[in-house]
Amino acid sequence: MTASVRAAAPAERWDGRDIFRAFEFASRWLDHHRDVINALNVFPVPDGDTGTNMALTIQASVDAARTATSPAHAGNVAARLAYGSLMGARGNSGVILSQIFRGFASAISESETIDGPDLARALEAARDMAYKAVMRPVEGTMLTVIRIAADHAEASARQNASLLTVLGDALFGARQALARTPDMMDILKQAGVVDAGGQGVVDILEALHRYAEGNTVIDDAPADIPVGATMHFLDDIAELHGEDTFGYCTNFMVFGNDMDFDRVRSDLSAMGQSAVIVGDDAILKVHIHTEKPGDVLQYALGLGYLDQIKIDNMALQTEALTAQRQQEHISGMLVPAISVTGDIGIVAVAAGSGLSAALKSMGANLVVQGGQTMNPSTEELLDAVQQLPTDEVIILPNNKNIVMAANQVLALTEKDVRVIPSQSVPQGLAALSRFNLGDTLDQNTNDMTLALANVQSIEITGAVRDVELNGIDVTTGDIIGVLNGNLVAAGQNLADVVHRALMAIADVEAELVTVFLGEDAAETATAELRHTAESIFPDAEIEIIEGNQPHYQYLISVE
Amino acid sequence: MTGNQSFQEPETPGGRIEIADAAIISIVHETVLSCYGVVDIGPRSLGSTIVRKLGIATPSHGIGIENNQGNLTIELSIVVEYGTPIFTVARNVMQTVKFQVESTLGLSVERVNVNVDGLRVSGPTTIGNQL
Repeated sequence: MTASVRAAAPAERWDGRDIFRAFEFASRWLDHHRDVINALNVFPVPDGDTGTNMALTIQASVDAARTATSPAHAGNVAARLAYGSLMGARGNSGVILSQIFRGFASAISESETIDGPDLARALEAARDMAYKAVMRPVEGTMLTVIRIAADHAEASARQNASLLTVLGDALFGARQALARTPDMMDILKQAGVVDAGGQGVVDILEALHRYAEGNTVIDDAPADIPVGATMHFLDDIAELHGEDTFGYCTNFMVFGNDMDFDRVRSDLSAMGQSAVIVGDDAILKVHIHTEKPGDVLQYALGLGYLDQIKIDNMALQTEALTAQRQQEHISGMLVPAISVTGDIGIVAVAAGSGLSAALKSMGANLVVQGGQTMNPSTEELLDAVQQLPTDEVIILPNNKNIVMAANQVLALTEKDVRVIPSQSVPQGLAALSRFNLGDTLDQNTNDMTLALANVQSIEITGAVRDVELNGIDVTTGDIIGVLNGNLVAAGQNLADVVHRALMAIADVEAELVTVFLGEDAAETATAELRHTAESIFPDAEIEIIEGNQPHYQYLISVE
Repeated sequence: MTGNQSFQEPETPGGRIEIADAAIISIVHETVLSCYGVVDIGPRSLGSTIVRKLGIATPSHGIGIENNQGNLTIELSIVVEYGTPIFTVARNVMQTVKFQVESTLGLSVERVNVNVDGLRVSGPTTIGNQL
């Protein structure tokens, strides 16, 4: 179940071979998650094949790209991907995917290689092309997901972001959009699922992002869910598409051999209304409204043996029963849940994969992407709070400017939310280290807030304007050192600024110095930083972590 | 092709139900409009283009219903975006229309005949097949 394409360092540019490998990985990633996507499929026809269709479509793309005449040319490989998806498109989701690939390829057709802004351009073209081919776009579908993903990529490219960052931002946008699909389409909300095609788009973007990170190991649990077995929503299908008010709602599974699926489906469909029949030649799941359930079962017995037979008289089904089923349904269903150990969930804010991973390893359940230059909105924080399954939630804003947005969440949710006013990621981590599963929300809030004071946090970043602060002259482009939110050093020389910033707290009896390297930190400078830190804090342990955060060359915590 | 026909269901325990073709057509119309890849409904003749431009096209335009005692045959005329896989688009239209009509009206749809009467070209016209 583990397979790697290659472990690449985040590349500045992708050539045709990178694009091929990235999509080849996306194809395997999607195939791996196929059954999960199938189980979400309720729209436009709930036949449980969206994941399979998308996986086969992208597989056809990759097969066509394998025979590109100029395998190193980005535009050529992308065009072959688009061509393959056109020829191999399966189902509605496959058609939309082929338009997405077509738009993607059209934007970079002349490019030998692509960088972050090129990729953003391709995603924008993919979005535009996807919307072109439909008269009345249905929101809450993969269209919405690719649109918001492209919007985020566009914003990211305006800051000249790297390939990895553009993909990260696009993925972030896609996930946000996916989470909102049930709000845009009633049928999804009733079934308690997110849009299947939208999930597929998120999976593809996630795979591309993973490839960009050099992480092409398929590491989550294999999704070997037998088709049909996961389709709990079919049990509530009456709620999905209007009530027939008489007859019998008949549900069962058939286990057979070499069943002629298409013929069986059409035979069964003819026996009643609202038929939904999914499966393959070995397992079928059948839902049908019929006046003669006996005839339907008799027919099915000729195919194999039956299981999970459930027949309801629809005329006798009361409102109460419907309500009860919906309740059971919502509590036991498919919305990708974030698991939380204990009764208190923790939402943290950070930018960059490394910082997110660090926060998660310390106990944050959900990390909202954001930071100095892209403060998450109150709505994004609220979404994160609502996504957690717990009634008690702690927010770590990890930035002075985000504390206020976090505080506004309190008034917007029924959950009991506390904000720990952490002003940097190191502070957030220090607070997390004091979190205790067994303690109450009040006790934890108290301990974590106190922990903030024990951390000195230093941010090393670039100045974006001329200013004079605390008697220090700063020129745009200077490197500046900020200690606990206050400017303490500025200059052209990185090592010098780091040294002065650390010297400002030289009297602290430090036990641990943690350095998070930014996405463009140079190795030599990092070695020098370690040396400086060791000389100023001889008794401290120095830990260096690849934070991959944008904008900050280093985040340093001293405790 | 549509008239004021209606489908009358035999007496049911709760009473009698009648569904006019016009109701079926409006459901088909709404469904097809949001089918991916379909950019117009109705044959691409000069007359129909004018009718559409004038805004006097009715929902029945491009949609025919044949009602054989509750077994429907639906005849569709659509325009598809050039560059989409046309057969797959048409097959999706077929399945979606069948599903929507059967699930919302409880009628059985025997056939959905999809006629692709035109293509609209709005994107690039080469799609990697020459490379």
